[in-house]
Amino acid sequence: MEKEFESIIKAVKNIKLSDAEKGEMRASVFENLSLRVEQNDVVTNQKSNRLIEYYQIIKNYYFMNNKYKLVPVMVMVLIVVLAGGTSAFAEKAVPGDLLYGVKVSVNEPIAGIFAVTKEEKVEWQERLVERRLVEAQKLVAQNNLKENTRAYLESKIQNQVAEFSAGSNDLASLGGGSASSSDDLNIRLQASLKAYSNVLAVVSNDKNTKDETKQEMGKLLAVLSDSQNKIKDNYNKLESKDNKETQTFSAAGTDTSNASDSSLAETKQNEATNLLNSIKLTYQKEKNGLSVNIQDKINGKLAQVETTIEEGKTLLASSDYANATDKFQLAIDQANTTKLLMLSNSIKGDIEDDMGIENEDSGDIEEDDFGNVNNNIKIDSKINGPKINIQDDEGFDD
Amino acid sequence: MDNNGDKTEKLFVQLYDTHADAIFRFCYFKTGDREIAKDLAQDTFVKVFNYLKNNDVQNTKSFIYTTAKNTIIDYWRKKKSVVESQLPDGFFESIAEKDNSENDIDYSIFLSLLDKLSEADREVIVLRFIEDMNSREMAAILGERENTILVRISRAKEKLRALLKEIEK
Repeated sequence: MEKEFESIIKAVKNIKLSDAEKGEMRASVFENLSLRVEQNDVVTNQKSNRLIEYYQIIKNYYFMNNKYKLVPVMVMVLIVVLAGGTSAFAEKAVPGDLLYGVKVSVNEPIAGIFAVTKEEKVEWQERLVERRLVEAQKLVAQNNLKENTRAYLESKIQNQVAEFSAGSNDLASLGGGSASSSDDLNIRLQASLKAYSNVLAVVSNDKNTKDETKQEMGKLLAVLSDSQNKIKDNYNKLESKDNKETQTFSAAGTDTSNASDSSLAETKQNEATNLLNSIKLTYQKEKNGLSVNIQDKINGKLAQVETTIEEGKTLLASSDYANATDKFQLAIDQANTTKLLMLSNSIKGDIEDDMGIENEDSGDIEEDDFGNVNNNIKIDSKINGPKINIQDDEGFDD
Repeated sequence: MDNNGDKTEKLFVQLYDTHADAIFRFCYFKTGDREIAKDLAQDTFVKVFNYLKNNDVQNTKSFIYTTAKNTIIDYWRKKKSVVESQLPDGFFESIAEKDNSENDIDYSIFLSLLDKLSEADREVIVLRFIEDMNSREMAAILGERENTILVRISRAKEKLRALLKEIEK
């Protein structure tokens, strides 16, 4: 009898959730909990709650609008499906959370494996930096940026920026479309760093932000500025190298073949025109989220790019290929600067809309070369801990 | 999340991993519907964690089951036309048909016996022998005295034995 009874028990114990059901339910539970946490924050601290939502918005913005992130995102979805709720929940983790190790030691390495080509690898390296930025944003939103988590994020960001720069250089050395992709990724990362730095600095100024978080934020902002400058410097070196190679090629062509000069100029013209068109297309989508001030500046800079291209065309028509090439290269540089301005403000604009922050509170990002970022961030520690101010750079003109 | 929040989160992860199947099973036996049971189990864990964020609980296992029980009661209250104890006919037999993971034993016979037990008897059988609870834990969850629980367990087991004898005949 006891044997039969035990069989019943065994049979009933066999009724359980499948691994997939268990993972799915776990993800749903934690998702519900996150929502409730945010709802509670609305009651007690509306600003902090908006910042948590802002983290989601930034994440969604990047997931939905950046073509370069599509493959890793799909891989992440795959991981979530295969690994279940733990992996899914880990995606929301920040340094210090129990599941953060799953995020950085399981999810990210697996997603990285699927980045096969050099371009995909650099794209993924860029995405990794942005993931750390999102985490910093989330920690600040939670008023929970501490010395150890700040130090961890600093270290990760510095390492990942270095890896990105090395990968970007390799990509650029391939020339052609790969070099353009390298440029594009450099600009995107600069824009991200700038937008995050700007918003984090504004958040640090919030009266509800703890002194400890403010203090650590000040240190992290300095690292973000340094990272931005490094990427900018690396980008300038790549551009400078590209220009030198162009000039060398052009000089050799002057002696031997006008056809080579002509071809190079036309290639540059196509590159400049394609870049301008792609920026215009993006601008149409992002325009409504930008301030009138930034719209005016972008309109002016796009007109400037068009003028430069037209000047290049005139030189090309008069068979002055070397100067035409230089003009088209100048147009490319101007277009990239415009793109940087547009992207950084676009990200920031979306954030402000969803957080209910007035643009006047933080000002526009108005830097033409995005260099010397430290000049735009002032840390005032006289009263109530460090206070970080973003100052507009009025000297935008080229 | 601060340190307390981290601790609570860790605790919840542990609780979930330990009790997810059991709470699902508990809800399943009370509703007879796998999807509803999953929803109720999920609601249970959300409630538990929200409570644990701000409160200490001495016996978390009992707390989770009590929360699950109350969640199930709320569910049945909303479905006033259905009596709680009415599981669909052949409920356990249908489980056995779906579950072929253990081919060497014919579970369908044994599971069909549970269909024949009353809700009250099935409840104590499940908690005592399936979920391995002691009488004290069961008393806390079911809101009865420990002695009463022991008597209920004994009677439910006798009924099960009687049903087994009938099958053997």
